[in-house]
Amino acid sequence: MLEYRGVGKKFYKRDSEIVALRNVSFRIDEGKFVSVVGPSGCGKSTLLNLSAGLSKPSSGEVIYGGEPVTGINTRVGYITQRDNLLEWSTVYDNIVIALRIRRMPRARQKELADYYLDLMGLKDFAKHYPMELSGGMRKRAALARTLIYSPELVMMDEPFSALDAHVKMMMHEELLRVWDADKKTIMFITHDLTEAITLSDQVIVLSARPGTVKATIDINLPRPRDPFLLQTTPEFIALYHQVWELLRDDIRKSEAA
Amino acid sequence: MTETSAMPLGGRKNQDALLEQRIDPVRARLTLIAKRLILFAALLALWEAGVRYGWIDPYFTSQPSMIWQRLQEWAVGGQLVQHVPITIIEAVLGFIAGTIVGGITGFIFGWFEKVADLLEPFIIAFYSLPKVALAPLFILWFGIGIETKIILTATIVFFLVFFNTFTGVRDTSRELVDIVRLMGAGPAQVVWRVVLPSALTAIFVGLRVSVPYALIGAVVGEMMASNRGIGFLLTNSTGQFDTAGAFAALVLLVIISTAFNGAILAAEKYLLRWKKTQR
Repeated sequence: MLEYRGVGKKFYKRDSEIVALRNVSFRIDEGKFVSVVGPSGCGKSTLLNLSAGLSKPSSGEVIYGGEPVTGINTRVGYITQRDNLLEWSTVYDNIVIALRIRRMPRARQKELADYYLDLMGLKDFAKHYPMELSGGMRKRAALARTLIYSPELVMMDEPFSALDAHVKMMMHEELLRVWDADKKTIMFITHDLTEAITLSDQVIVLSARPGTVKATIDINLPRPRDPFLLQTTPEFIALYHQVWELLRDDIRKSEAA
Repeated sequence: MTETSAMPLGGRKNQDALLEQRIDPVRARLTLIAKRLILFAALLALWEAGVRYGWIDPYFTSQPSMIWQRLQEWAVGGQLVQHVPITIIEAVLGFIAGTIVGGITGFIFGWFEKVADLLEPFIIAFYSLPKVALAPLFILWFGIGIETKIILTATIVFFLVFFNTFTGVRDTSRELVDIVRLMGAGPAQVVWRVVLPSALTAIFVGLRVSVPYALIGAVVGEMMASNRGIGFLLTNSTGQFDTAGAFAALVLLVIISTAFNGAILAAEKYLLRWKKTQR
C-alpha cells in the first residue's frame, strides 16, 4: 500500500545542511498497524509528510497505491500530536468536516456521525465546543473526525504523547477496539516503545539522525489485546527488551548531539 | 444559563466558572450596574452644584442642566435631525469601506508571504503617517462633501483592520490547513472553513479598536471643512463661546460611539460564541 524506496530528505538551516533521512526503505501492507519508533529528531514525522505529499523526498521515491506520491495525497488521513480541532465548530461539526468537504448528503453525514460519536463515547457532547472537552475527549474527537471518512491509510504522529498515563492507556484500549472493528491501515509514529508494541503488528526502528531503518520487528502477540494485561506478559517484555537494545545507543547519540 | 448546561463533567477551566456562578450572577450584575449609576449621578450632581454655588466657572465647563437644555433645543429646532445622521452615515460607511478593503488586503498579505515581504516597508511608512494629516489633501481631491469624511474614516479604519487580519491569517495553524487539505479541501474551502474562522478573533480585535477611530475620521473631517455633522456643531458652538453646545455635541458622540461599539460586541459575541465558556 505504502512503500518508501531509498528515501532521503535534506533540510537547509541557514548555511548548514541537515540530513533528516537517509536511504529509508520499508513498506506498509494493507490492513496492518505499523509503528515507527526512533530517537527524537530522527525524521519520523518527515516520513509522514512525505507520504501525505506535503513535502518531497530529496532522493528515492515514496510509492502509494502503486504510484509515486507527487501532490497532496487525499487518500491518507493525518492525526497530529496536537489535536487541531476547529475550535469554532461544535464536536459534531468537527467530526463531519471531511464529509462536508466531500459534499456527502446530509442524511448520510448524520448517520456516520452518530455511529462515530457513539463509538468514541462522545454522543452527549455533540453540541459542545472543543474548548469544553477534556484532553482525552478532544483526542477521541480528532480520531473520529479522521476515521469517519475512511481514508485508506491513517497516519498518526505521536497522537497520545500529550496525555497523562491513565488517559493514554484508555486511548490505547479504545484505539485497539476501533481498529479491531474497522481493520484500517495505520502508520503510527511514537517514541513510546510500550505504546508501539501494544498496538502494532510491526514496529519499525529508526536510527538517530540521519534516520535510517535499523530493524523491522514483527509483533506476533495475539489479538484482541488488552493493553493492561498484555504489558505484563513475558512475550511483551521480551519484545520490549529487543526494541530497547536496538534503540539505546542511538538515543544516547541523539541526546549527545 | 447556557454556560452551565454546556459544561461537561471534568471539563477544563470550568471549575472556577462554576464556583463563580454560585453567587447568583444576575444579582451580582445588577448590583454592579446600580453602583455605576449612582457614581454617575453623583458626579453629575457635583458638577451641577459646583456651578450653582460658584465653585466652577460655567464659561469653561457649562453645567449638566444647560447641556441637557441645549440637547432639547437641538431636538426641537431640527439640528439633531440635520447633523447627527450625517456623522453616523460618514462613520458607518467609512468603517465598512475600511473594513472591507483592510480585510481583503490583510488577507492577501497574510496568505501570500511574498506579497507581504515585498510591500512591507511601504505599508509601514504609510501606517506611521498620522492619517488625519491627509485630510487637507482629501478635501482638495474630494471636496468638502461627505466623500472626504468617508474616505478619511476608511483610511484610518483600513490600517487597524488590515494589521489584525494580516496577523490572524498568518497565524493560522499550518498543520490544521494541511489536515483539511488532506481531507480533499481546495483553496476556497481551506479559506472558508479554516483560515477565516481562525482569523476572526484577531479581525474582531481590529474592528473593536476601529470604532472610536471611525468617529475621529468623520468628526475631524467635519471640523475642518463642513457645514453639517456633529463636528460642525462642535466647532460652531465653541466659535460662539457656547460651552453647553460643545458639551452637548460631545454627549452625542459618546452616545453614537457607545451604540456602535455595542453593535460590534454583539456581532462578536455571536460569531465567536465558541469562546463563551472561556471568558
